[in-house]
Amino acid sequence: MADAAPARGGFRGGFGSRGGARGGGRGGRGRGRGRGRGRGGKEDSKEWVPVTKLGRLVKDGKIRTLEEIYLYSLPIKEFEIIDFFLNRLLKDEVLKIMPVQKQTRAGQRTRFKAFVAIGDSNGHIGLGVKCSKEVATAIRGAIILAKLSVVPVRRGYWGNKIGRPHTVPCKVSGKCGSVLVRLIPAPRGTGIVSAPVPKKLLQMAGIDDCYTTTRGSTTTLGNFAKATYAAIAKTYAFLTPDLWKDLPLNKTPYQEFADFLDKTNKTGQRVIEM
Amino acid sequence: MSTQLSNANDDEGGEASKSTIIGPLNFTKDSSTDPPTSLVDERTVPCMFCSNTYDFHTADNGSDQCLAHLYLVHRLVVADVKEIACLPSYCYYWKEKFAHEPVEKYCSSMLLNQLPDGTSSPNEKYFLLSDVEPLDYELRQRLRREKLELVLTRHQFERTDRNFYRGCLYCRDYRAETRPEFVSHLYTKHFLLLGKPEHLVFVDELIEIVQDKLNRLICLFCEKLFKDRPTLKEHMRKKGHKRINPDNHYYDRFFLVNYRLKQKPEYVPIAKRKEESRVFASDSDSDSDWSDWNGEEQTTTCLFCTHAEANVDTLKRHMVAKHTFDFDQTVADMSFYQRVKVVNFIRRQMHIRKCIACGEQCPDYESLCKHLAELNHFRLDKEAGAWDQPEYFFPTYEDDQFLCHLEEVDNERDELSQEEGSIVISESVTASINLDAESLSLENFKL
Repeated sequence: MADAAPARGGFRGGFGSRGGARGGGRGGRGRGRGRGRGRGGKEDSKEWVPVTKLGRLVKDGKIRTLEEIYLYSLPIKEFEIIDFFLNRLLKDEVLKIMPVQKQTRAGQRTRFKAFVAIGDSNGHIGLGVKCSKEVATAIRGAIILAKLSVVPVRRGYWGNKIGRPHTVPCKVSGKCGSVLVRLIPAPRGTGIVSAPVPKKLLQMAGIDDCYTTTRGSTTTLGNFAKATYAAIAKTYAFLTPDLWKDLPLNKTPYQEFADFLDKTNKTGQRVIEM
Repeated sequence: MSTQLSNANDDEGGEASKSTIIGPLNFTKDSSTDPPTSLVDERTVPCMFCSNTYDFHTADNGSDQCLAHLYLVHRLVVADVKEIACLPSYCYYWKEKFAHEPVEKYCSSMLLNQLPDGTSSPNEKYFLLSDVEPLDYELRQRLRREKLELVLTRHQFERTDRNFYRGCLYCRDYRAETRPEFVSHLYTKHFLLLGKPEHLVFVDELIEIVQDKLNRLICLFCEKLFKDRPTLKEHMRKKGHKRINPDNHYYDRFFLVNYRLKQKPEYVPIAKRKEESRVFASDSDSDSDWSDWNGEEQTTTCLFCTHAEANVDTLKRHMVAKHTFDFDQTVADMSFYQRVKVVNFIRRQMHIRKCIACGEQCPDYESLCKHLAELNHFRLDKEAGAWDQPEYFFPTYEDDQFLCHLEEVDNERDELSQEEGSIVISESVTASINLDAESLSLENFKL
């Protein structure tokens, strides 16, 4: 919802900067009467022009699911990629907005810091933090950073494999600062047994039942949240026996394109034409 | 944070033992009230010296009357009154101070040649209370910070609250659930610009004021009176007055930007303003620093009484001292899941007033405590399987923090070990090959 806000930038509205608004208002009145003026400021969100190769692949539909990107550990640098796959499902939640101050010659400068968690309650979770002079910009920036940090969450079953997975697949722990968080599998119906902050994150990740054990100064909620996120991310990092099956070996690109490489003099590969 | 075991009615515990299903229990009462809109009670603000009180809540009159009174009767002037974040708190603070100390200690005095009502009289003494006095400066800064926190809490609440139910000012059939939706609707459908929703706070009041103005046929921008509604609407449309006048300071308190801590505002021409929304350019390391967000201490409640501590070790020592119950010793050789069951079992038994050792049912909390103390039953009967039942996997209290400190957390010791009584199966993973992604990931491996 916050992403739609930039679309109204055309009006130069928003009373965040009073000086600018005065000029904009007067200029607008001269341009046209009545509804035309207002309508000009309201465009739809701009078309995404990808700037990374991965972005181009995604836009062209060559990549079917987000999981394929995770499988090859490709770094995601554009948040529109995440939006492309998970747009409506992702729900963001602002955990906290706090003012931070810095002493300058002209007095104290206050900026707002927004902590945002994002997740689809079905296997993806992300965390972002952004500081800015205005609350809205901080929230928007934090949502973008949260989208870029989205990771997959592996879940499991307790006891028997019926229904949907509901708990963590094994004991995992994550650490940030002095805070250590450990997630422990729980039977169906237990709910999430933890402090409020990790509870929110675990719910957004799609984990229904889980015990937690914590250590360290859990009053530093920022580190607490990050430690929980680290623990959740580890669920896929853990190699369990059922991941041992081999993936079929493809021909390496060198074998496949041996003729092509023979022909060209340059050593660099062209990006393979799609 | 107040914690109470649910022993409000003692008979309740006894009756519940007949049925084994208890509703959800919580330690902390659900405090889901609206966040406050002011730091202190603004209705009865006392004068700093005498016992007059003023009502600051209704419009502006209360504060003006108070200040006029201070000047006329007590000859006190407050410097930069408009800059004070919360005048009522300010008055309360100084009232306390002036009760014990003379006025001269904190105020600078001036000599003027007139009495408060204007008649001339030589060398009359007046007092000026300003932030030259360090206490006053600190007070003002603190008030500003507190006000900012309050405003941010309110802003966050207004952003997500779904209970806002209000019909649109123009079209009779639109109802919004959240305040941002309402404000956006006013802009997109009716071109009435109050401001971007994320910059506004105290939206309810603002809408009331706007509605009032429209009902009284007063233009929002220029404040002129019109004959009837169609004329007003036509005027506002043609003159571009369908917005709030930026010069009108009456509306300042509705915009978040005005609550920032005081700094000389520099006007930077639009052309020179730096681009704010570059995502990857962070100003300094503090931008992405997670460690400055601090919260309150979460307290854990004792298993047998209502004593609560922030630190679990202190709580365990309390249980040893007060109830002769050594938790660590009791669960020394148990697996994690067994410990969970022990805690939930004890909580359950205490709630339904049954002894944890012999299982005897007591009529109320006091007699249960007496029974436990006299027969020294503050111990667990490890042999009998009373506590080792699967029903005790589920937490008795939903927000029981004791369950979060049951085992030693070692770094990097993630186990796949299947403990007794737990079989965990991971969800199946399907990895599909994608040639394009694969080629992209191998890109860096060139000949």
